[in-house]
Amino acid sequence: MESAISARGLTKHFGAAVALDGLDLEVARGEVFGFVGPNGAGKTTTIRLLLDLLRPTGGSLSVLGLDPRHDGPTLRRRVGYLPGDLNLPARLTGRQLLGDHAAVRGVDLGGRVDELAERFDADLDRSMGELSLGNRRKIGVIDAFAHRPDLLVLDEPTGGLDPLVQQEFRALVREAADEGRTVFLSSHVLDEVQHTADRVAVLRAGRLVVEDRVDALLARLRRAVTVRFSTAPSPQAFATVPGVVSVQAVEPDGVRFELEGVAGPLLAAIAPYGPLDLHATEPDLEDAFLGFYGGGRG
Amino acid sequence: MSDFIVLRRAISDRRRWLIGWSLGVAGLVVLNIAFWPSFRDKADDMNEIIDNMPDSVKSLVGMGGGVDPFSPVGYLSSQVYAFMLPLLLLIGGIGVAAAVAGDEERGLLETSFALPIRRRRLLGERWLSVMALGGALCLVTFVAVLATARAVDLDVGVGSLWWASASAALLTWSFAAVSLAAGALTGRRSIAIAVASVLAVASYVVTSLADAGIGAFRSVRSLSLFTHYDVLHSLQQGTPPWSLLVLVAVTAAALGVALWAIDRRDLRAG
Repeated sequence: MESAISARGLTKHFGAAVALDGLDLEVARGEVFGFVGPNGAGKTTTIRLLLDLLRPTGGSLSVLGLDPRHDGPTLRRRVGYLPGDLNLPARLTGRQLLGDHAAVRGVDLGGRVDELAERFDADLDRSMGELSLGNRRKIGVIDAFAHRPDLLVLDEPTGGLDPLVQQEFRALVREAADEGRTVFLSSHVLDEVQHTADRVAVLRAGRLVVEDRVDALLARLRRAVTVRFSTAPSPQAFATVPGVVSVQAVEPDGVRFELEGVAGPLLAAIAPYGPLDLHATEPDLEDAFLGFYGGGRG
Repeated sequence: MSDFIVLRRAISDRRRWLIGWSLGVAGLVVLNIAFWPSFRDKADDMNEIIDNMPDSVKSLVGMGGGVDPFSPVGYLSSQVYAFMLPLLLLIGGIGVAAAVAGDEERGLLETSFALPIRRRRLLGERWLSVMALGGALCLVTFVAVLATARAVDLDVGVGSLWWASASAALLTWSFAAVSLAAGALTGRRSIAIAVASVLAVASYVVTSLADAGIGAFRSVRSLSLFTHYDVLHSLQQGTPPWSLLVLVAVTAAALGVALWAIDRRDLRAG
């Protein structure tokens, strides 16, 4: 099947700075694709190239089988976009903005806007200058989804949204995927995309570091787990537990594990010692992937 | 497809701006013309003052070039059309045109440029809004001058006023188009304002000093846009076709540069 997004050697320079350095990327139609990387990795640059807001320095790019540069309006009619840094005109209400955008797109949204506004508890009738960041972002989410585009390009979509709204957002992404739409989701943290994406690509310094299915990637993800006991056992007791990369005692009465892969063996190993509390943190992407993949380029 | 949504929204966003500027421009016009009867009655005293001014100063304040400031046409030219009105119109026109780059700079065009509309179409509709707003201000000026002139018995023909207002509109559009082009080339509001303003001031000074007979400026006089905003000629005999053509050509060329530039560069993310 034809790809939703196909990039070959995609390169973007801003003066002397290299934002994208020969990116190869294939996103299948109907797929929810997570695009993850630390800030400044080139995620937003890639996204803005997809929409022809930027022009590539080199390489080729095809979106929904079209060339963003030459088929711009035809392509963008089929795309919904939520920018990471969303700036909306302060004087307009959400309803006015969404009405304008529907008119430019030439679509009649019927009750779709109100339906989405109700789901997200979005206020469409106050000027956007009066809305909080999170409430403005809800308008942005509605703008991206309302016309049921074939491709959704969402840059750091849940930033500023409260947990309940994030949950609703994930449901909306799944619905879009169930309807056969493609979702391209970027984030600087894996956590934001791991619940929704089928596959994930990790970008660093303008290059793709790793691309895999989310479950396969999570299985290889290294994270820190700290367990508290009433009386801490010796760290040596866990040194040979599968998946445990390193282990050390932390004061008071705790043990900190660096864990890779599934957590089952570790949980079984600590259970006899009567753990009181367990806290797992996802290390940042640099630590999680780049160390794991031999430091990437760095 | 889009039914000029961008144009309609750009004008609707400037409703209050238009009302405020219309009141301001009309107010200054009324105030200036209202002094006509007392000015006319004190012609002898005033003549002495004006005669003692150096030619270059007379020219800079719109009383050069053999203008008789005590004739109705001379008074209108020096008090309204030569300096005060173009100053206001250019500030307004350049500001509105530069706002396109300002919107881009603040990231407000990010979602608009992601819509199924060509960049040129979007910029073109914004330009039409600049023309409509600038034209509306000139129309307001025309009505205000006409009404006040009638009220204070200042004898000037409707056709003369029409030509003078049309020239003012063309001058405003030409510098606004320069501002639009500078903004489209750079995506920066400050540059859009600076380029058009510096050119406007330079043009005004060149034309004024050339008219005052300063040799160095005479050779470049015809390159200055203000030379083609020959308001005294417009009020007396209508605007010369050549001047109309120059102003229209500069506007069209600057617009062409803007449309070319916006289509070939990266857009600012805000």
